[in-house]
Amino acid sequence: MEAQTRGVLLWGELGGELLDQVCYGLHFLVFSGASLLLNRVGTRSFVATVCAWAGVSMGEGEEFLRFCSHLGGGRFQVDRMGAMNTGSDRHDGGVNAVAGICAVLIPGLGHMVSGRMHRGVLAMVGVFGLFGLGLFVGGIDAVDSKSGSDRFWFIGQAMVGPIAFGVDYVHQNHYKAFDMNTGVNRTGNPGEARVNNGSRWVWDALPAERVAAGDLGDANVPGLGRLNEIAMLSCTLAGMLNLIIFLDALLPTGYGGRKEEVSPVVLGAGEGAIHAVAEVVAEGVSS
Amino acid sequence: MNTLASTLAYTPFIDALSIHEQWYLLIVPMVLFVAIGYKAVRVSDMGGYWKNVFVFVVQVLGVMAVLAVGFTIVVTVLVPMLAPMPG
Repeated sequence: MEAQTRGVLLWGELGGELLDQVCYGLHFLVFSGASLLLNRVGTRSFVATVCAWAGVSMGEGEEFLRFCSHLGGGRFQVDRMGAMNTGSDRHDGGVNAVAGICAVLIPGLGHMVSGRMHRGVLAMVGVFGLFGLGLFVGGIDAVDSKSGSDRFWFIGQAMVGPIAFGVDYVHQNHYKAFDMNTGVNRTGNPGEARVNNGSRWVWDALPAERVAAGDLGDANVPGLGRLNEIAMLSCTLAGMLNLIIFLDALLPTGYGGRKEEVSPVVLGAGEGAIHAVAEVVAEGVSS
Repeated sequence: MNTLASTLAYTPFIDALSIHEQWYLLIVPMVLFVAIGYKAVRVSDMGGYWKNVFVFVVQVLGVMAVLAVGFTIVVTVLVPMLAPMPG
């Protein structure tokens, strides 16, 4: 019984430690990944933070942490959970949820509602410019969530927001139709008419009177070759750019984080220890 | 060129353009829009915004041009020297 209890305790302890490490790791990856994505952290600070996090995980002492602070030039903070702060005012601004929601709805709107009108308008011009360029070059065929490899591009394009989904909806429902021979929903060919057979839109041969009138059919011109690739790339770049803009709206900053004054490095195993270690490491930074 | 683009009527934003010979020029507006959007959330001082955009565009286009020249040299000069084709 005692052995069983000891075993449970031991397993619980090991399991708890393992879980802690996994949590630390995930926490660290999310924060450092987001920071890197936003380009707020230099490579040097990133490497130093990795070392510090690994050191904390392995129970390294203050000397090692001080070494890490020197390695990073004192430009970062990291707590025991691995959360990283570059010394910019990114975290001081907190999370602006309203701006984040607005940024999801319309590119640049998040900045506008948070009082950064100029930046919002320019961000909107950038995203809509790229998205519009893609549509202008490749036609509506550049946004397609249900066709071959195009649907993988749509993952990036979707980050433009509801507008991308709207364009895709129009494409799927107003410019594609069912091919009764192959059983797929596709873009039309010249000489085909898009007709409703009562249950769905299907491609059918163009009626003779329309052919006689010089009509070429209901098909739109799909993008081909390099132009199609460039068009899809442009729309996808718009989505990826909008992701950066969304994060900037959600986590407002004072901009130019790298130029902010150096903050003392905080590394500790608990709230009580943070202040003590902060003093030690701050001393290391200043020396 | 007898393609769909040349046989069907063109509707902007619905039909694809037929500029297959000038595709490489599209990098200019693409880089410009990326620069406008990116620098809008990146620069610390909006007073130098357009200068930053200009520098960004020039840097990207410059590097692209250098890469193009480099790869042209590799393909047209180095590869034929290293592995000459018969005839």
